[in-house]
Amino acid sequence: MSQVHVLRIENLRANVGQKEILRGIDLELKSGEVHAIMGPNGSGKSTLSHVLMGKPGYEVTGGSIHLDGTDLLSLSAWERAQAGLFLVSQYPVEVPGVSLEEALDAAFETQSRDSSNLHQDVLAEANRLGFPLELLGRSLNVDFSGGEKKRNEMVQLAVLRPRFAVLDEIDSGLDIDALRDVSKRVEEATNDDQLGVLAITHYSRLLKELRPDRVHVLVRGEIVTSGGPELASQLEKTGYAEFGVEEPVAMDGTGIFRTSQ
Amino acid sequence: MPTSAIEEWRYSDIDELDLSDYSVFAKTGISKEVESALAGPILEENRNALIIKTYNGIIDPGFAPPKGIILGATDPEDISHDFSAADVFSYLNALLASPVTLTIGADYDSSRPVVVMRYLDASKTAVFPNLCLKVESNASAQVVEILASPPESDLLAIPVTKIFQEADSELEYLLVQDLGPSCEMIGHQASRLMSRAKLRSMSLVAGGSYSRLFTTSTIAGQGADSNLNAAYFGSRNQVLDFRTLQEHSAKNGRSELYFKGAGANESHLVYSGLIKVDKGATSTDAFQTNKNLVLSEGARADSVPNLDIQENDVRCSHASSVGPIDEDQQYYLESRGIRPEIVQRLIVTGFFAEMADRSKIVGVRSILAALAAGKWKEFQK
Repeated sequence: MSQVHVLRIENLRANVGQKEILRGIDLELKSGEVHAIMGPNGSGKSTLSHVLMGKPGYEVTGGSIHLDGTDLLSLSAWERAQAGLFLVSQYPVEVPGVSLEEALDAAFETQSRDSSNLHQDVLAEANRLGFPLELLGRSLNVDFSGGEKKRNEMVQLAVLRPRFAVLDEIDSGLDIDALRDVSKRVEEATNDDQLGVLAITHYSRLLKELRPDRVHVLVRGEIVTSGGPELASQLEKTGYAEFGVEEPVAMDGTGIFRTSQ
Repeated sequence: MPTSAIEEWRYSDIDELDLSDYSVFAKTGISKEVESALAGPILEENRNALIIKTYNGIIDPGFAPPKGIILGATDPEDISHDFSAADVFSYLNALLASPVTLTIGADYDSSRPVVVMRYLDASKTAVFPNLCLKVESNASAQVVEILASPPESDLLAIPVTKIFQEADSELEYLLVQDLGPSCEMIGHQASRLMSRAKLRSMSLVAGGSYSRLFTTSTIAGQGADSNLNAAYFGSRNQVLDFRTLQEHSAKNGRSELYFKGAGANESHLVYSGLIKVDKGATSTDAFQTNKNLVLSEGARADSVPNLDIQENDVRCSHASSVGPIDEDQQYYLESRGIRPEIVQRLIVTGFFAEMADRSKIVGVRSILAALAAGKWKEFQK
């Protein structure tokens, strides 16, 4: 049995500019668990993911984030990644002239990890995730489709094998096939590598593929309620209305948002 | 060698002239060419290259052109009037240079790149390299021009390269400027493309304390296509100065310019370019992009794109950018667990690596990598 790691967020508060966006978040995630954070637009979902990863421009005004004993808030983004945190970006950034393998090689170099199997690992994961092999030598994310970008993020995650992954609206810009492939790989990682997952999403469709152990609802920078997977189904029916926000949680089959009840 | 058996040499003692008794008035000891770090990949990766050596502007007298290439010492008459001196420096070049003129015919083996190695090592002296390339109808060629000098040299180079492409010809041209850090350069490269001719040029500029390159390309025949690229990396207190002119004087032409520079330390990058579409040059496509990465507080870049359009039915655009490393790129790569200084090196190396797809000459990728790595090292000192 591998060691159980814990990502613990306590009373986390953060500002963007003068505005308080996160207003006291508490959350504990263990190895192998999948937690979903659902919330309407502007509830602070993306801010939470960037504050966890350490993106410059976000001011943490209170609380703490610990990965096991490590105080993540005292570390910069690359050190948090080394500590075992990975962020699947909502909008993966184009990096001209830098290929996936070069980036991963540099990550291995930073961490003094043995990269002798890197090439085979990348190929194997690309195949497993349906990421086109001809894109491996190309510039990261440049001219990639929405699906290719997310599959590419997943190849990186699978090769780097972090302890915890934050999936920031991984379902945005994904067709149902890509969503299924990506979710399947995340689930395998939770089983095989005991990856802990924090899936941040607006819509419930991701959670049909990626069955969460816990669902938390984030509204106006606070977790207003938490529950089991049934909470997502319930939200699908009611939308975020009961929390005072008129936004739907499900999309219909054509990708057009259903109006809330 | 002629003999007295030939009518016009009859009665002379020409048989007694032994050329091996004499050396040519110019040192031709250019074994030092290997000192040019950037020339290495070209020579290594193009083992079949036709190498033409010149030393302080004088051609190696031992060079014998192969089938399909005519070597001359003056511009072919039919094109000399097409290239007028752009300024006092190209005028001086016209007066003082020993031109190397290559006429490349359709029967030249185009799989064999022509590499013109210009090795310069004069001290406190102005040198005037001059290359004229004429690519004949239906001919296709790759030409690499390397301007290199040893690190200690302090010369002034005033090179001029003239490219004349006849109808339906194709040329891949590469300039590698790897002069010593104390050299100065004021260079010109001018091309003139006749109907359906295709040019793709790449200029890689690394050396010198002051280096200016004036690039002009004229779409002189219908449907010609000129693709102009440059990559340069300033360090120390270098000034790297680029002026360009894309001139369309015929219909259905296309020109695309993509110049990319990075500036570190106290260096100064300059780009100023003009797209000029003459009356009558309808259905023209002309694009111009200049991107600058400014890596230090003390470095600066000026970018001035311009358009002068005298015709209606054209598609033209220009874009320029000057800025530091993109914060989003930096954060994205750092979030993968890469140390910030390695991230910067990756982004800058990538900035140049991207250019490798814009030239078909084998070895460009390695030169770009060597250019970025060498400059990066200098920057980090």
